[in-house]
Amino acid sequence: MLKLIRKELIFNRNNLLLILAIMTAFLVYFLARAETFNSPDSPAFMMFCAFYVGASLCVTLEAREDRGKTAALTCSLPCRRKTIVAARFALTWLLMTAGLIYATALAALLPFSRISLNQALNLKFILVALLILTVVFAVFLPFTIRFGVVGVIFFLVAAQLIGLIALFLVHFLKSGRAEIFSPIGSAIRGLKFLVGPQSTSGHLVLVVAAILALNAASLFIAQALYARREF
Amino acid sequence: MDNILEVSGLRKRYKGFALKDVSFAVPRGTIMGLIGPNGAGKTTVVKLIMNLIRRQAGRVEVFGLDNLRHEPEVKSRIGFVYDTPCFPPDISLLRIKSALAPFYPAWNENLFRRLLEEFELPAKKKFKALSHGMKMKFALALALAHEAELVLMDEPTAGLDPVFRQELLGKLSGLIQDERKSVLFSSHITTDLEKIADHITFIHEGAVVFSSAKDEILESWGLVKAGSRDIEVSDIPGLKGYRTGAFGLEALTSDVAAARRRLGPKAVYDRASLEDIMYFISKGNGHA
Repeated sequence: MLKLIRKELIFNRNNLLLILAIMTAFLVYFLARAETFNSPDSPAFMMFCAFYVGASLCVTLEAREDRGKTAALTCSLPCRRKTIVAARFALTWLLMTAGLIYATALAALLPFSRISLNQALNLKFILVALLILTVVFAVFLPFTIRFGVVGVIFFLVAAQLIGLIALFLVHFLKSGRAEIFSPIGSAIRGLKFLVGPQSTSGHLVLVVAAILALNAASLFIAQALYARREF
Repeated sequence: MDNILEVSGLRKRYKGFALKDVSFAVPRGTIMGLIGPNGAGKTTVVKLIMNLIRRQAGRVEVFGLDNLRHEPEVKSRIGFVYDTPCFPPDISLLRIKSALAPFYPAWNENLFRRLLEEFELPAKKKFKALSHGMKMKFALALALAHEAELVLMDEPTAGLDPVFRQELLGKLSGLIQDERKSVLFSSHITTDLEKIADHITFIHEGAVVFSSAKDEILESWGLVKAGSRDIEVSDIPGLKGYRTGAFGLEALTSDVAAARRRLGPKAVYDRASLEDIMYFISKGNGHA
């Protein structure tokens, strides 16, 4: 698996360096101006962005592989397809962790940073950010791995359509507004509760368990789907 | 002689195409040519051996191991050259090598360097900057540098200039001299295979027409030529296909000796090239 991760890092070095440069510019600006946003959630937002860049990079790499038709090369290497998929997931987590370390290091080392190390390394923020990203990428990654760029496009179009239908229903069925938004509202309230002072370590353990379960399910589905992919 | 590759009862169905119980074997230390017209199923067979597509039935054994159950081990001993090399376009050859070499326990860096020099490949150039011929050379260098015991090539000579085609054929002939390595070479350019192949497997419409030693095929198969009224087509033993025209009758037989015995001086007999065989079998009977 390490060889596969190494291969991805070598093949995508330029891409990764470009993203790193963009991420650095964003983080430096954000850290310097954080207090002007006047929001107590600024550190959480910064961590979320750091994780997001790491997680979305994997989708970008997958899309690049699909565009360059190099997936057949990967599948002709001496490793099992299950290992290839597991390496993709491991790389996603590796890049997310790298994003976390990098953002935290910048927050700690930049003299003009308005976010302290303690604020950045808030365990509740980190876990909630990981939970949100896990929910998104648990669905997104198997799609991408199985269907490549076409999968990404389908996923995004489907998400847009669901959004449009939801807006349509809200507009025309005013009586149903509460029902449509109640699950979303509940989810937001739940996340706010988790980052708030009332949440206990028991709640956080549940969040970790949910993250692990979602990732395991996503990995399992992605492996099953990738085994059926033909080149 | 032991077989380095054994394919038996391989089936794969697509919309409008089916691979029907394909079976053949590649003996160790030989070059097997997989021939057939475009769309015959050659690439499908190669992809099934490499597990790039899923088989619906059949078995593939490479080095005596099932290609699915022992996938990593099998693939580490195969050198695979695609019809269109699919390496990342915007990175240098050396970086591609540094990413791929660790996958192969038998990687030979000195051999790789030597092949780069021999093929005059610019190691620091990006892959996309290479011509098609250079890309094929690079793919071949990678396939050979890990001391592969079976080199699997899908249409490697398509689109190559005659100079490099000759070079490639020479390289492949040299490769099997140690009698340990084998080559499976799929192509519709039959003249290439006529030069170097020891065995030929001919696939047509997803089914194997024959699979045997090239010399046997070229000795036993032949062309029977006669005036249209001199012989009856049905009299030709081992008839595989024929055409008629202003020139008379020209037929392909799988048993030219029997045809000679039966028809005697009423016809003339020629050696059939692989191209003739492919042509007559692909076209069927009675075309002009």
